[in-house]
Amino acid sequence: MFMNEVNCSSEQVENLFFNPNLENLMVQNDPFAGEKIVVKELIGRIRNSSQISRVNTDLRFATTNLEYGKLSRVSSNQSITSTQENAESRENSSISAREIGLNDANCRKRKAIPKPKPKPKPISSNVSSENSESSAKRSKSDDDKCADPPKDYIHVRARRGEATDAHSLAERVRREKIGERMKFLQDLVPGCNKVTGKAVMLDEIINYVQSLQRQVEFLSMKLATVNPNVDFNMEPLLSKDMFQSHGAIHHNLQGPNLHSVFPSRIDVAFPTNHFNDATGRNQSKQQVPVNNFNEVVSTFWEDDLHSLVQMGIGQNQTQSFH
Amino acid sequence: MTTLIMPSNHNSIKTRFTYRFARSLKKLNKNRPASQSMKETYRRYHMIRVASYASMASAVGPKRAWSRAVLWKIRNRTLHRTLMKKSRIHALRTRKVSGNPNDLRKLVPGGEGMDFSRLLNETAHYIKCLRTQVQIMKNIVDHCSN
Repeated sequence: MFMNEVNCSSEQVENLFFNPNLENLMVQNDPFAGEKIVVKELIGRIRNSSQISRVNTDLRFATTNLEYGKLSRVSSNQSITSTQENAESRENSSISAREIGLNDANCRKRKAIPKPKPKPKPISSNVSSENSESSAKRSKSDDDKCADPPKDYIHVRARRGEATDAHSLAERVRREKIGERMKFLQDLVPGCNKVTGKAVMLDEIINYVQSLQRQVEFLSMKLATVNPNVDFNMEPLLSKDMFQSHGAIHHNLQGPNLHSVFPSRIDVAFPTNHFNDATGRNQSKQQVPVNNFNEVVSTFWEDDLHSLVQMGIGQNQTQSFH
Repeated sequence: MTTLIMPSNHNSIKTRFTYRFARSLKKLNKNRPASQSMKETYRRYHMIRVASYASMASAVGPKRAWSRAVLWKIRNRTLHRTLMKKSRIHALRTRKVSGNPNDLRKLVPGGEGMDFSRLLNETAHYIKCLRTQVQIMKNIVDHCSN
């Protein structure tokens, strides 16, 4: 199993030479043997951290690995058990230092050959049956380094320490696509700059779409009750600013019958103007009015539909628009 | 009387929507009686709302899944109009109760049979068009109220 690796790259040769020193170290430093065994197990399991490109066998490296919380990631990834991991865990639980030294030597060689970016998945199959498969993949990724990537539908490079099968690659591509689109939506929906995480973002998006739809309903109700002018000039319709309409509608709706219903709704509704203009000033405050707007609208439609219609009719009769 | 001055850029979604919506509003306002009953006003509200969504969807065209879904829904609705009276009332009642649906798919038209990344794409475009719609309707209301 060593022969496969020897042919691949030169770093391997270094590691080959490097290994006996490690074994000697393992034998000599007895008081720290237990700790070192654990650490070497971790090195065996973890491909690499993002900070370190070249594998060292220093304890320092191992401790930095621990500091970056690789342990937790390792333990979580073991739930995705494959036969590789089972074999590895079986190996790594072996007692003799020499075996562990050998295992780590293999791991280190495997880490040295491909230099992709890191991702913490503990697949370092030493003696398992997937050896040939992983070495084939590794040589393929090696080719990726040397020459042009092979012709494929989507070029995805397997990151260091990540599974190289098609499913996880496709999964990664899909996740990145979704993340990219969530970022784009974050720019669209106002007030979402500080929000992180997909679930909260989704809630915000849902709220925003709902509030927009309710605004359409409200405006069409308004249009149904308003007495229209006959001629529509397109220019003023298209070029009007949001703030202008804000002020104008406020001004028009200060009718005597409408104080109870309309101004409260308008005041709540038109903070969303500020939303649409994407001014970043009062966004935290305006989260609340949008929710209130939704609640107000829902209660509004439940109870006051008839009263609104009557007020609208009253508005037609009492107010003059000229 | 009917002066529709078209602006210089004919092809934006905004322009197309405004043109179609103004035209449909004019049609709706032609047969308007002097004094409206409550029922009439409610019916008018419903027709104006459908008209605004339809004009936006047709302004967008068949490129987007949500616009296709909206147009398809409206066409089916006009076919089964008489059959749907009772179910419409029922739908209105249930819609009031459902305050916050968990799924974005129910909100965005046509979002049921899509994978998630495509749904996000459609949502982004839908939000942009909804915003335009709201803005123009506000301008119209403002214009009519002056």
